[in-house]
Amino acid sequence: MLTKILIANRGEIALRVIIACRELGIRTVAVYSEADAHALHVRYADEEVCIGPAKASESYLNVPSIISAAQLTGADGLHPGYGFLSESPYLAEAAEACGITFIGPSVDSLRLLGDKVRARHAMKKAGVPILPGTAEPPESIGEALKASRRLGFPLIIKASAGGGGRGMRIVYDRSEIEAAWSMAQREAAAAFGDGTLYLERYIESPRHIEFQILADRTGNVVHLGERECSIQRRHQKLIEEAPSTVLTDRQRRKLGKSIVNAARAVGYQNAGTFEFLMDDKERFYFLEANTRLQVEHPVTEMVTGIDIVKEQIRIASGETLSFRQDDVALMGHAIECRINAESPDTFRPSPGTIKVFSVPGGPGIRMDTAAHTDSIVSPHYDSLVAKLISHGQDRAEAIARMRRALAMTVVEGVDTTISLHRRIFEDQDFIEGRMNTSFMERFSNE
Amino acid sequence: MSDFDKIERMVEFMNTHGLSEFELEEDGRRVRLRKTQTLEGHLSKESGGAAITDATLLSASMSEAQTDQDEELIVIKSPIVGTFYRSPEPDADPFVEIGTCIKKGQVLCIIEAMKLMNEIDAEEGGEIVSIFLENGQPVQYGDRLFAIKPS
Repeated sequence: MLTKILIANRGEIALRVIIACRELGIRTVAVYSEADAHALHVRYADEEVCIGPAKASESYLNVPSIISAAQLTGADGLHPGYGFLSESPYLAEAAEACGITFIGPSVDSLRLLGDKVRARHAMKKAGVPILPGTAEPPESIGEALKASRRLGFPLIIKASAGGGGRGMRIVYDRSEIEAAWSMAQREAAAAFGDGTLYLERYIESPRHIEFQILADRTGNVVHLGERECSIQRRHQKLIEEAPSTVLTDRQRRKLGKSIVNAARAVGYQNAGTFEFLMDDKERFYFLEANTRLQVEHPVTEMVTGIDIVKEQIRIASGETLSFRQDDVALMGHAIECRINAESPDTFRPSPGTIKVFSVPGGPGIRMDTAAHTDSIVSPHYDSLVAKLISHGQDRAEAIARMRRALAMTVVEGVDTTISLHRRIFEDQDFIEGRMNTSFMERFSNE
Repeated sequence: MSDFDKIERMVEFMNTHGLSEFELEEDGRRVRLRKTQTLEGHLSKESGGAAITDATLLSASMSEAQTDQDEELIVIKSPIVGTFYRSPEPDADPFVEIGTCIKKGQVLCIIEAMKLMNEIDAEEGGEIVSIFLENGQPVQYGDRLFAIKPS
């Protein structure tokens, strides 16, 4: 088992990893920017290293500083959390070169699945259904136009090096392609350092269904069921749940099996999430693979009873998975609300100091947060304040618990999206499970 | 000893032994002192033992440090995370000593990170007034390295 893990992240996820390490008896090293000198993840780690100024590019995205910190503290493991460098082949490679175990997939997997074009190709080869699209990235607008004739409309132009909903453009008509293509190329080059684009059929108002997998280093792969994340605003998830409201056991088994086979085929290790879109005819299409721990992992933990972060650490330590697919059972229903420091109406970020912070308890409620009274929501990082998770015997109970937990969560000093969540949990469509990625647009316009 | 003096001694006793509550019953009289817990108090680090404090890199050590009372002193802080070396090579003389007069751009030390030797130079010319770290000590971003009296 690893003995000392450096967490290359901040906020609630850094704390989450520290929690798992503490429970496993592993020592922890926190890294922090000057803006996070008094942050909770720094306080609860055994050791701490300041790695740069507030600016993320000079601190949490600074590979040499992070690796150097790991070397100086003698860490033998490095957990990248989510966001920041969590899918960076550069960080993973640098860590491994210095004899530090990267807690995540291999460098090859990061490269393969981080390239959206190659990922589609690999999934198709493994028998996973993918969205109709270009097999090879069109090298010119002419080729793009040609491909569009074959694929039909509407189409979406995506960045091969992108992800997380960024760098995408929807095109409804041939006449729009030329302008959209040039702009998307420029944006992709600027945002991801790579202007390679590809085309996919665009599905209107799909449901977003994703599968969690765990794979050890000896080829054992299991899936932990799916999550539904259809409540999104501008491709940022607001509410996630497990299991979805639509998949039948049969669909889950079938899709799960194909994903497990695909993961095995590409030699995937550690935790990962395979995202799909479901159209109105209940057809599933692979969207992208996230080669890291996800923000919404707690809902899967609540319904399976499996501690995903601990499993990540065990896998990275060389242990084989202690359970098989048949051992994975989904119990009840879990929902997560991302509470952000933003205006619930305009979504404008609301950085500042939290003056009052009161967390609900009671049965079936979990709060993942690094916030507390007098903690600072920094303008330099994302606006996530807390993840509030409810679990119940069924979806109705999970909803009832979330309603009362939201009412009992107090955050003063910054704006939060708590009131927005409360309104969503009163919405008839949401209560009856009628959701897709257009939900928030409809909801905001009412 | 007056009651006030006794209480003062009790407070001293509490501080010396890191107590947050203290109660004493004597000759039928009882006194109870309690410190208000701030979040800072709750979150005070569990010290893991001397080995950690010595081996880990924390904020700049106080050794021969002059406090920056002199407003004119320039403090050079580490821009990276690494190991602080005072000489270009193990057996060579240090780049600078206390009292050394340096020019702008002159190399003051090396900070090694991931096997790369990063030279840290002076932003201004002047005289070295303090050296905050010892040779081979780990440094983190922002740690004080040198204090220079500008010329």
